[in-house]
Amino acid sequence: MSPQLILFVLISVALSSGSQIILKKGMIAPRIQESLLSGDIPTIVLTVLTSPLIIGGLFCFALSAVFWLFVLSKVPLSAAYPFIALGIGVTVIAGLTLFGETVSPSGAIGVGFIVLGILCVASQA
Amino acid sequence: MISAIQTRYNTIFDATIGRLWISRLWDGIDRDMPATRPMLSRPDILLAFGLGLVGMAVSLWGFAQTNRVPAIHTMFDLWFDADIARVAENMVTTTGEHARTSVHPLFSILVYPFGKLLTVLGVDPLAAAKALVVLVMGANAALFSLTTRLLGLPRSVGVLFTLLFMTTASFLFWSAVVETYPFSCFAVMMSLFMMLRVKTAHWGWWLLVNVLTLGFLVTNWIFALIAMAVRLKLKPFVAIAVTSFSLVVVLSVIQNATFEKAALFFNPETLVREAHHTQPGMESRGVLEEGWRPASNLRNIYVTTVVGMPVYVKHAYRRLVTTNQHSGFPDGEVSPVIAVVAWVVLFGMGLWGALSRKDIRLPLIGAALMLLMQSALHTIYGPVTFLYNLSFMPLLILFACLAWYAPYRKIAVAMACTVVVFGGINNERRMQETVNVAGCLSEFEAVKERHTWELIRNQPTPEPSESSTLDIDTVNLCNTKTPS
Repeated sequence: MSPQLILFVLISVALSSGSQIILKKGMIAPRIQESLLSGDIPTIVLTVLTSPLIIGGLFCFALSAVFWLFVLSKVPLSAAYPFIALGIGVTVIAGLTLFGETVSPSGAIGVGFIVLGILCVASQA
Repeated sequence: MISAIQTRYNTIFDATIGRLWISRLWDGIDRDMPATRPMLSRPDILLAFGLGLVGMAVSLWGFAQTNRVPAIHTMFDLWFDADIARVAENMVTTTGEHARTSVHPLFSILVYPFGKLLTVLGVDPLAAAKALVVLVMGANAALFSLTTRLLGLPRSVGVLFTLLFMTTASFLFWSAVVETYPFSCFAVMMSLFMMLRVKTAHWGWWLLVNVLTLGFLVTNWIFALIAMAVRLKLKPFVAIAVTSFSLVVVLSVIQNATFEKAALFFNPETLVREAHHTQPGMESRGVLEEGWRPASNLRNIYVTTVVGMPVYVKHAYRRLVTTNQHSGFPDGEVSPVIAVVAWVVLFGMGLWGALSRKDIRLPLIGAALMLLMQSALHTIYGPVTFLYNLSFMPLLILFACLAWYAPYRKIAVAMACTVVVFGGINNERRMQETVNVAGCLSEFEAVKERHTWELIRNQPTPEPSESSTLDIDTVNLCNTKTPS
């Protein structure tokens, strides 16, 4: 895989995991939490769809798909898809730093294995 | 006289073991390693000396932290089940309790002369014991630096991995207290060095390595035996193994007569007694509160050795011990998580790189065997695995070094830097916490009664009264977080 293609893969993964972070931020915003508590479906849908964070997150998600489609046109699926797993590492760190979530040592070891697996796949590509 | 003995030995060997299939198989292994690796040069030795000084500085810093709680050096078990005060005593006097020579066969007789020399020069006994640990930890760092060169690493990369060696939880925690393990680590490092040397060493060096590994810790003899098996044919292997074992037996008998309550390591009773310290055995007797959890022990061996975990307090042997056997990450800290992820990637890349090193395949198989045997032993033995990790930490870092030979060399270097920085930050925090917990524990009257060891004493330590009970609830004791 050429450095340019790896860059495109990484941009796609960064946008994809970034979108997850933004969507999470959006969904825990007080306004959306209040609407969820209200239980009124139209209010919930309207609040979610008009939230700038949700819109931004979905935009990043769509943009990542555009990059991903380009990658798929150039790289074998078996070589490209494992890179998606990099997003797990990014979101775990984001969960820890931005949302105060906890990770167990076994979880961190698992993330390490995922990264190692991606390197193995990349070396064959 | 030596040549006459050699001739007699050759005759006997050729007529007996030499005729067996094992001899043909053993000697049939190709031990000639292509000399593609650099020989050690003067700059390497100067660099190793410098890194040895850094190792000593790390150890001095560690002692500066543990000295905040003097009880760490005069009480049992406040520091991961370690017998710090007794070991310190063993290093500077022939009197007292030398009974653990049952498993550390020559520790007293090998270290005491140096401790005595320092006390004769006017150094306080406890300070003398600490000074010896500082010196040995410096020597361990220097030897590791030289070993990285024998692996073929460029000097700058060797420095990086030697820094990684010194920022591991194992190095930081065990260079800050007086224990036998820094000395057994030195013998382990010598075994690895001898195994990887470009030229096969003189038999005298092999004899020394055998005596030191067996003499400091019985189970560590396997390091010297494997190193010899990698480099020597069967005839010299048997001769050196038998001679060194005999030498250790003779020295052990002399030690037995010279040091108070010294034990003989070849006494079968010793083995039976040690079996009581296996986790399955302790679990079946109901004295291991948390039960035997092999997966957790393996995590402790392969991860906690490098990236330390928070301590908590548990009951063991009618006393309290600090341990990190089953603890998770501390709440709200990112550095240990990043360090563990980076370490797993680095170690995995190291194993990957090891597979590509055809020129030193036999020594690497030897190192893998050493690590597997240590893993098997410490999956079962001892309630606190962290206590023993200086015996296998050099092997872990040695394999991590080989990440340099895996694909994506830059990622390997980035991971090593990440472990040094984030692992170092984490390990420093864990160390300060452990000092604080030890300080907190040392304030309990029941702990004072049971744990105190009168250092360099004239009277035996009073046994705690039969009626006294240690009814301290250990859950979240001293602001720790007890794992469920």
